[in-house]
Amino acid sequence: MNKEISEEFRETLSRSVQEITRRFAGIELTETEQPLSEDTCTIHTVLEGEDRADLLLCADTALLIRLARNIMCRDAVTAQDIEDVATEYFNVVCGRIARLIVPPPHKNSRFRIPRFYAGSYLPEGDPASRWSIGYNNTQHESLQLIYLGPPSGKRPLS
Amino acid sequence: MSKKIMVVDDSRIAQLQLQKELPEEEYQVVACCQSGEEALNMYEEAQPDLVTMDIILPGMDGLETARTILTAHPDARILMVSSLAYDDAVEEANKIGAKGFIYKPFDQDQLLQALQKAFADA
Repeated sequence: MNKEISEEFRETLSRSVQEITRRFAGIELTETEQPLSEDTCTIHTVLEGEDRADLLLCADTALLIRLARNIMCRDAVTAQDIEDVATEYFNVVCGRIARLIVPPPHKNSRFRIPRFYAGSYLPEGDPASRWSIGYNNTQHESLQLIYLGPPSGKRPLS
Repeated sequence: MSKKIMVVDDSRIAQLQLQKELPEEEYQVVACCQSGEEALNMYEEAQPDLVTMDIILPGMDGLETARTILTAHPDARILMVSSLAYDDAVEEANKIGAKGFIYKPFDQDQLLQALQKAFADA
């Protein structure tokens, strides 16, 4: 089950993710409900503090390869290149959107160093505190941003 | 003579992006460190004119590393380069004595302006 988030919040978040992706790698993303392919990778971090929450980016491997090619400025990229670029991309996304997800004066002003997983990964958590937003690029490669909040009643988002 | 830059970032991609945006004739990257501890060990050997410092690092974070360097070397120039967009991080960086703060993702103009400002400050 996905938590409902306000349209205004979704739009703000989406604009941030789209702008960062454009500036980071020159890739245009559009919000979509298109599902991910079966070949995906996941990057995960934890927003630390009194309202600990998980933030994940699940993406088609094809999109992460495109991201790595754009950043490395070459077609031949290694698995390590893909992991390193995806992790830095998520690090940049997290830095920007953590403030939107957990605005001041909450004390979650830091997040852990993101970890990369080949395949899908979803930590345990309260499904009622979860929401996700999907995107794809012009090649129909997809990614999803997933927030897994603290237990209901103790979450910073209202 | 080009200015010597030490890059502190745990991501080799961030290091690569930074090096790509620095004109070789003006700036020379003399050291790349992946942790605060490595930066502390490397600082005296590299003797950089400026350090670019990420905040989220394994072990000692970038703000603590900057504070330690500036305590030992009050004339050090440190430019914070981070994705972390919280005001408290920027305020802390200013309080420590960092010469500026730029957000990732940055473009070449933003980076060069921040560097020029950092070098213009006494």
